[in-house]
Amino acid sequence: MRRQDALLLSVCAACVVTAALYVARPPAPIYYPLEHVWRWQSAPGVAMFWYGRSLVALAGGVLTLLAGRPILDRVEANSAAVARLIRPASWVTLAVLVVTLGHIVVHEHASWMR
Amino acid sequence: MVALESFAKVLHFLHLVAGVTSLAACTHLLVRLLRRRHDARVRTHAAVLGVAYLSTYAFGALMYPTFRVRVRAELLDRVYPWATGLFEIKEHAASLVLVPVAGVFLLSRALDPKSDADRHHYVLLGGLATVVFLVLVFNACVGWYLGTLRSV
Repeated sequence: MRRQDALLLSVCAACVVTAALYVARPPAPIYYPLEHVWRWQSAPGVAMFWYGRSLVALAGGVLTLLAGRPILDRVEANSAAVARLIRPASWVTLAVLVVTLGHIVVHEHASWMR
Repeated sequence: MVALESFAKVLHFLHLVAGVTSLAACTHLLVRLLRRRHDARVRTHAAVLGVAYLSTYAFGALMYPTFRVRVRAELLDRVYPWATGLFEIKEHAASLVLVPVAGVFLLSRALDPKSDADRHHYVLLGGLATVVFLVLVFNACVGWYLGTLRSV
C-alpha cells in the first residue's frame, strides 16, 4: 500500500478509536486534587474524571496510529481499490468526529444545563 | 494546597498565548486549503498548529486542578451549573481533537499537492482542519466567557 494511503487510513482509524473510547468511557483512574491521590473507584470529594478519560481515549488513538501505519504499509493491496476507499473513509471519520462532539454536547447539556 | 496552584496565573497566560497561536495557525491553514494553495506554507501552518495546540493542551491540563477546586467547585458548580456544562464540553472537545491535530500535521507532511494520487486525501486534511478550527473557536469563546465569571 502507498505510504500516503497507509497514513490516511491509520489517521482515520485513530480518530474513530479515540472517539469510540471517549463515548464508551472504559474504566479510568480518577484524580482527587485536594488529596493529591488517584483512585479507580469514585469517592466523595472533588474529583477529576477528565484526566483518566482523556488518557485512555488518547492512548487508544495514538496506539492505533502507531501500530496501524506500519501494518498497513506492508499490506499488498490493489491500488485502485485502496483509492476508492480514501474518500468514504475520510467522510466516515469526519462524521464520527461530528457525532461524538454532538454526543458530548447532549450529554453535558443533560447533566448541567437543564 | 492544590498542585501547581502558585503557578496557575502564569500557566493561564501561557494557555492563552498558545491558544491564540493555535487559532491563528489553524485559520491560516484552512484559508490556504480552501484556496487550494497547497504549497510549503501548509506544512508550516500545520507544524505551528501542532506545537501550539499541544502546548495549549499541556498548559490547560497543568492548571486544571486549580481551576477545578478554586473556580469550578467553589463557584460554577454551585451558582452557574450551566457554565460547568460549557466548560465540560470545552475540555472534552479539546481532548477529542488532539488526534485530528496530529493527523493534520502528519498528512500535511506526507501528501504531495502535485500528485494526482493524493487528490482525494485533501478531503480528510481539510475536514480535520475544519473540525479543529470549529473546536478552537468554541473553546476560545467559552474560555474567555468563563474568565469573566471567575478565573484562577
